[in-house]
Amino acid sequence: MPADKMLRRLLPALAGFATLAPAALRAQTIDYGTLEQMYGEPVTASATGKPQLASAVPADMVIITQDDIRRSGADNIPDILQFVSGLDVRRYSFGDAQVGIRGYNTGFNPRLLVLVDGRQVYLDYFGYVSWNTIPVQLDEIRQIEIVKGPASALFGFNAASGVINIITFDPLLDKVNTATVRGGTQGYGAGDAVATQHFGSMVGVRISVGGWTSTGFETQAGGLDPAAPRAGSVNISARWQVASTILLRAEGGMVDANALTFSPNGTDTNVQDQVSFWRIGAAAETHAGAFDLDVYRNQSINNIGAGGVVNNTNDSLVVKLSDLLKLNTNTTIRLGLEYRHNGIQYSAPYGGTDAYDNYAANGMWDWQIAPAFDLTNAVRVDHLNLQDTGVFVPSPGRSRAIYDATTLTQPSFNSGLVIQVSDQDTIRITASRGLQVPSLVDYTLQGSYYGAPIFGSPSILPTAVWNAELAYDRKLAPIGATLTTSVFFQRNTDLIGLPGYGVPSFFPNGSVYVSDANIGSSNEIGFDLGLRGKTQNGFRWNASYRYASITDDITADAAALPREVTRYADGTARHAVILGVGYSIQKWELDAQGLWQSSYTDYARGALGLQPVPIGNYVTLNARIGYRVTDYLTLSGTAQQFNVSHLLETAGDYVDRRLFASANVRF
Amino acid sequence: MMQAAIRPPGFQHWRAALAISFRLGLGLPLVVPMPADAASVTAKDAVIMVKALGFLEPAPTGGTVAVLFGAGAASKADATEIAGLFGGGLVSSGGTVTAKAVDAAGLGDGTGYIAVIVAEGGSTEAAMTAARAHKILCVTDSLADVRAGHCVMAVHTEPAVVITVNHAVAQDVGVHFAAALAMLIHEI
Repeated sequence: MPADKMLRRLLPALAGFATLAPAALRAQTIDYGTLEQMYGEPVTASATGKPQLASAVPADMVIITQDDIRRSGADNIPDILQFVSGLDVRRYSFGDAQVGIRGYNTGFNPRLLVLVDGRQVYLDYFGYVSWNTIPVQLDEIRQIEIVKGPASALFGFNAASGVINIITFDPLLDKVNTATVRGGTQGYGAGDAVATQHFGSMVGVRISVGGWTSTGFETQAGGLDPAAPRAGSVNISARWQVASTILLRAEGGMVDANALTFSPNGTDTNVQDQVSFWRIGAAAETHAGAFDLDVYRNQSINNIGAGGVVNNTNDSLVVKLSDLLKLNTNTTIRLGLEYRHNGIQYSAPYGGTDAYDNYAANGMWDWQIAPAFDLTNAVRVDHLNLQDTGVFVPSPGRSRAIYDATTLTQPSFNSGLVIQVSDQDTIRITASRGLQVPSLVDYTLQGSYYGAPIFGSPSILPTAVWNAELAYDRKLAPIGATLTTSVFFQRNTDLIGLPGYGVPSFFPNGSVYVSDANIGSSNEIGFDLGLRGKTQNGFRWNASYRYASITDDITADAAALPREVTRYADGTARHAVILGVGYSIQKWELDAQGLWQSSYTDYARGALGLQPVPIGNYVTLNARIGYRVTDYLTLSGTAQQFNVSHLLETAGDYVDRRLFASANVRF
Repeated sequence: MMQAAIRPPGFQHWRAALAISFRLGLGLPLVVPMPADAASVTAKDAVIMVKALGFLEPAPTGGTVAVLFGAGAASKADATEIAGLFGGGLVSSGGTVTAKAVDAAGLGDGTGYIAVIVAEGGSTEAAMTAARAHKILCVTDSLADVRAGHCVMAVHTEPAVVITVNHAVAQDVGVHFAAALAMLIHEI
């Protein structure tokens, strides 16, 4: 169904929805700030869809708070995530970084779902995250919630390796007024501002703007980044407590970003994205539960390289309705429906629109078996219909009729048992099946590269990610610390090959073409150990070790172009150690983080296809010093990778040492 | 009078903590000082109670909490000390909340109060009478009283924050919490 037609049907439903709630009740968003003050730890809804204490969620979750963000000294989200155990952050250039959870990271990583307040911000056409296109300033983020492991039963597509949900301050409940300017090496200059205005106690509006520019890092070819990386964004978010029963939300924003980006085919490519979105929603509390309606449309115009094969316009409309209901003292359920229309309009010479409609139903059941035992089960079923129009290049197994007849129905689930053994000890046992659904490019790409035609495939299957995990957390009160441990086993079936570079096939005349395909399976086993502590006198520290071991079983017939298939076994660093210290005294804050990562193999394009590029083990050290001049003004300095001037972290470009200063005003 | 509910993390292990702090080269203590507070409701309890009021449906727009004491000087002293924790007022999302120590006669049917805190020795029966009359919250530090249906909500903050609500009694009184908090409280 076209997006505009869907919307016309939706609006009357929205009007009707507003009448559901009886007048005696009150609709609220989650008041994260108040709840955190009450319970002394962050609250999240990213694990099950219901508000929970971070320590009680049935998932391996890390929450990065606004204080953590400030003290990191970083000016972008991937650089913050670099020091989270279990996350694999690859900086390919000044403006391009890809984030993987528990390995399997690549350029244009399609396995990670990133949300801002529940709205997906990955680019649908490739299913990847261009972090520069997220219209959010660091100062307006309350917390970043990271779920390690598949979470498709709650969030759907792309939550295959995990979810990162960026929670911003509430325009109605929080008042954030701040401005920051930054300047430093690599010709770097940046500025952003966030302003909140309350109109009485019922309406709140927050506006944020920001942008940065740089000459970039030195490239492997020598010289500076030719892309002249930059980004600029604006975002407006509003909440209206219409009545004690109903809360309405509206939001919109746009971004223009440019960066040298490492593409899945192993080349640096200049990518320019123009991303815009609008979003409306409503929440109401009734005797039948807390209803939430969320409607948003994301549009991105993506220009990939000069004459790139996938220049396109990508349009997504998502409509979600959910009901969260506490049935009795120990049972909570959440029921949800979701519709998604996702279309891609390719540039000439192909043109036309390829799209799918996806319908999903999901349910969550949380059962407090006993005060110390909490069992959560969530299931979701997705049904997808593919459509194809425009210029079509037939090849074996591809015809318009096949595309239009292609459907996909897939279940996913999450189960978790949380056992509060004592006030100090918590055990979590979880199992899940997540999905990496093929991207629109995987399904519908038509083009050529290095002279060979490349095609998407309607018969490609989603990657299923099975995960089983045992975790144990212990509060170590004597040293004011918390120990977190987890061991997991993950199995990936029907791995999706690189877009357009999956499996070589042959036209009837014998000429070769390459088609997207499932290439086999892969298993991973790993564990995380983490310690984090702080004292009342301002000293804080953290230490973690992560181990991951992957074995591949690549079954695709890749004999003709054997190097067109990424191997994951060597493509993930097996060991990573993170150490951090920090100290606050009077008006000063001092923080430092270090990461050691073992060697791994990345891939870059050479004359014969993808070539393995050994990446040696490395250490990178970051530090920040901050000084609060007044209650309103803070000055800080950040040194990233101060231990080495150049570092090759990927098959992309060097990562150069960065030094920059910041001035932040709060008013 | 009950002893303070707050126990600093690792207080009994302060020597070990101190040793570790010196090993880290800091020479700074890692433990929280023991508060002098000795009321049955602690300052932290009071803050959480007030914040919880902001999640009631409908949430009171500020007002006064009655702290109910019973016979005996100790009970009155406890109530006075609890009321003192509110100082000039604690802030909830609805507004500023103050507290006043009252006996059963002073409480009456609860008119003029937005909640009742039962001090050590206070009558839960009188508190519940007022709670039912005005659909206001009855709060105690006694989990046993909540389990027995003698009061709606108990708040404990050590070693971890636990808000316990007797669901049937809350229904009976007519108080409801917004879903955001209702999902976090422990209902019995």
